[in-house]
Amino acid sequence: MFRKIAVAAGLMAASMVAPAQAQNYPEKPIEFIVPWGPGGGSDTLMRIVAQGLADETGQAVPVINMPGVGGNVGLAEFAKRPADGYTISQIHEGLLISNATGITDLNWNSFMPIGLLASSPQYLTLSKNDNFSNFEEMVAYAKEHPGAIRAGVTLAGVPHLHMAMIEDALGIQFSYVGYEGTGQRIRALVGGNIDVAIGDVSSAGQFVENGDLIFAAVGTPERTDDEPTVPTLKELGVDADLTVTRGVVLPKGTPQEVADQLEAILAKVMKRPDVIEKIKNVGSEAVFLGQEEYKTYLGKLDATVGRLVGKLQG
Amino acid sequence: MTSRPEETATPGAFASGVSRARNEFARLISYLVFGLGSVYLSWRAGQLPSSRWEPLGAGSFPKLVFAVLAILCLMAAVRAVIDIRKIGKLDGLGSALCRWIKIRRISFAIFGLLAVYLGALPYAGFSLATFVFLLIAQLLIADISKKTVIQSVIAALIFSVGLNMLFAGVFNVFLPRGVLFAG
Amino acid sequence: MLDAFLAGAHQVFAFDTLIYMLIGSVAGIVAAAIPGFTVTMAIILTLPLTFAMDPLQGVSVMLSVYVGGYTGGLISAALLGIPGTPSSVATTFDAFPMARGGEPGRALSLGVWASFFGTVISTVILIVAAPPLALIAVKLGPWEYFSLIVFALTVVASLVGNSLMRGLIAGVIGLGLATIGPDPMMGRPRLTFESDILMPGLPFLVVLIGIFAISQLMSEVEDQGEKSGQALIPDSIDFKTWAVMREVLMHPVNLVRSSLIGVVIGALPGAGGSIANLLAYDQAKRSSKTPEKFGKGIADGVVASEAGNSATAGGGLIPMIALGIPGSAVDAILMAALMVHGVSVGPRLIMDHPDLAYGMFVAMVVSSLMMLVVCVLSMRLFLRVTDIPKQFIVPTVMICCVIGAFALNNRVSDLYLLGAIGLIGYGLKSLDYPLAPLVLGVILGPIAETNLRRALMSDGDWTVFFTRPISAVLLVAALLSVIFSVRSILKMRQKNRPATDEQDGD
Repeated sequence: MFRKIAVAAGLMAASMVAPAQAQNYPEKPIEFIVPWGPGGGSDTLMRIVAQGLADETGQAVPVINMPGVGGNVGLAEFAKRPADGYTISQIHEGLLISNATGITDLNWNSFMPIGLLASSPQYLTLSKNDNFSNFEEMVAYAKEHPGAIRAGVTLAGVPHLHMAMIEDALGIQFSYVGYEGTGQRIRALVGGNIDVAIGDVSSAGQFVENGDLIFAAVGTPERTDDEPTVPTLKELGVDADLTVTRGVVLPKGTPQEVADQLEAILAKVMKRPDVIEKIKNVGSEAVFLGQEEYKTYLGKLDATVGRLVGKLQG
Repeated sequence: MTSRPEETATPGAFASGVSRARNEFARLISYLVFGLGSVYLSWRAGQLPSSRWEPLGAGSFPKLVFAVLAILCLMAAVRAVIDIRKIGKLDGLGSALCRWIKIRRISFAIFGLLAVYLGALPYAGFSLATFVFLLIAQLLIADISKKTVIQSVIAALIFSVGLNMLFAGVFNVFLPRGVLFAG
Repeated sequence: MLDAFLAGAHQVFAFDTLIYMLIGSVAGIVAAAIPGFTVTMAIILTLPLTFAMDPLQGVSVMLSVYVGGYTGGLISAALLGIPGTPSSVATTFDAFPMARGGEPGRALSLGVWASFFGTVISTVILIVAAPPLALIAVKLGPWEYFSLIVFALTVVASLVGNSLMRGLIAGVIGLGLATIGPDPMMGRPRLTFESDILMPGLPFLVVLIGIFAISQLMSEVEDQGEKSGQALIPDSIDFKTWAVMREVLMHPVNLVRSSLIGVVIGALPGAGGSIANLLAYDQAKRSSKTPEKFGKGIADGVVASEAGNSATAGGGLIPMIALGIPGSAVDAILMAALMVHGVSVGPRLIMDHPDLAYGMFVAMVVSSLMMLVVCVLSMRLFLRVTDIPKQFIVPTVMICCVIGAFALNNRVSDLYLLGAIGLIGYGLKSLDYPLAPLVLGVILGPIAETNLRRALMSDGDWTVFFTRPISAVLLVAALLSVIFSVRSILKMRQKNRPATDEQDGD
């Protein structure tokens, strides 16, 4: 199926892209396929980026939600679109996992990664319970009672990968309960139906401030500005990077000059103060990695996913 | 179907024994189709791999649901057979079917048109396909006269080209674009 | 608290906010009135516009769309017999027969007033009892959810129409249809037969439009020996706004009960207006002295279904305002809009931004008033729809269904599903299968399965369903509901034996 799509995309690219178009890109609206439903993390962030893109270029950037099968329905449709730079889409860690677990043939290198735009630090979050109230106590409890700690994850999804990274580094074992989305997990955590979960500042921050939940550790290399008292996993001796990063991709076969122009525009968008502030407001961080750096990042990530995929397959 | 509690008939909906037998026969076929289909789906669901994360796998729930459906259909089919035999008259099936279809000929024609329209949509594009669909459908339902043709053309234009412009221009929602015709 | 209330009210009563809200209200009503178009869609379209507004202004506009949308679904439910939104399935049961019986104006007015009172009652409960109710809602685990769904499934008995057997079959078909597509836990495809069309599953809205709208439109053009060019409902534009208001208030128990059901269901994250609509109708029918009149155009049916779905608007805000947990997809979008403005939504919202929280309460009341004004003023216009000959109505509404089904996920494959499901729906309708149980099955199936599996993953012990008190109460309620249904069927059997000895249900 992937080969068919690639061939189709190539043909479309060959037939539809006029070389002159690249001169003053963009000269018409750019459609932004967000392969997730409205209201979620990807959707909110990408709507902010789309707004910034529209402000920067003067062209409309309508967001088109195409959810289904973990983002794969939208991306499959995206791969069939003309590779002329007027349809863009977004990927995150979930795609690499879906590919590794065999749900889709598409992977990050089925597209042209243009720029990594936003990174959302993920926190290991604990419910208030009698058995542990910080990272060390949790590890000790887990070692004493293997499989007793109930972890809420999206089975075979990004949070599952993050939990597997922690399990792997510490040699402990959780028992998993499947939830869909961060909101559901945090709700279950507050209600005491699970014991640990991966959360972020926007969904769990206020519960932590209120004393209902505990941030045990953050998965970034350095402590975050939002929660400076929360130690990083590295400080706690766990070598794992728990972030969700979202970036923009183009269909394969897009002319390099269009890709370069889009990269330059996105770099400008991510420097706009209003975009930076809005992204911070929804609990993420505006960053920018260009084409080469983004590809390197994805390649490295793919290797990690490949190493741990055995722990995710059910 | 005599004295079945839930069969509280609407007053005035008198049906003769023969036509009741025919209706029951048509339903019997639907019970058999659903029953056999659900047996197959239940079997397919049973083949889904189990999961190491949970006691119930992906297949357990659909397997259960389709098994229940199969049992319900079997029960319904048995009751239908008993009823038909009780009435004992089951003739004129062919002509009844013809009459049934004749009453619904426009319904089926409209549906056929809808099917063609949906199939053509990705190729012809929203505006063109919708215009043709609306025009034919309207004339199919109404009698063809000068007045209805003019009215239909206007209505079809508004709801094909007009709607497309409204959605693309105002709401930024893009309806299917055709390969042949971009609108 | 009074300061915050006044500060919020001050912002909502700004002139431009009120104008935007009025536009939002009209947009919500129109979007919901068109079969296939949903409130969620209207809200998503509003979302980018609110980026440029103040937080409270933006949320007020979205709330006016939301409240308008819960009422708009009534219009096509009553006039066309097609639920305009997923939340107006039960509204078709009595509003449509009432309209077809020559009282379309009364059906609409009843629904509008019931919606208005439902929204107001839910807002009052929201203001008074949000924090404790939200705390209860968040404590509910998968066990309680599963038991609640088991209870809700017993509603099928009220929806079966002529034959209990076919009603049950339709309900189980609905449960089965919902299992097609990616498995809700692992995302693995199941029963999709490697088909790209089935891979993403059957979206609920597509099933709803296919089953109700396409089949209803197809049966509108059956040749029953009447002349073409005829309108669907005989011309009678007559609505007595104030008389109907009094009529609605004559059913206080029904109104309050239905609103409470709406609030409770709305407050549970994941459940929504569609369940509240059916559950409120079911409860009204069960406690009525004349249950046999339900489904033939009784006022109680319209009042219950519309008060029930509108009350979920306020109910859904309970967990959102008290805890920052969205009660529905629409609430999630509302939250996203607030967050983009730098308002973090969570358990501290009322403490950190009291003016915003109280402003939202005020906006709810204002929205419901606007909905009322817009509906009463535009009723004449909507009733004109009934004058349009069916050669225009039928194909045009079909196109709206197609657009709605497409715009939901922007997938062309959903359109093929729409066509196939429409044909199945028409077939089932012709064979006198009730369609509402099927839709109920599609709504409840995934929630039941997910929570059953989640419960067993959390704790492998089945008895937990009976040892957790709320779960046990719900299961007992489900049992009582089944016993009650069996009893009333037996009673009906005795009552009807002599009369229906020779009749069938078609």
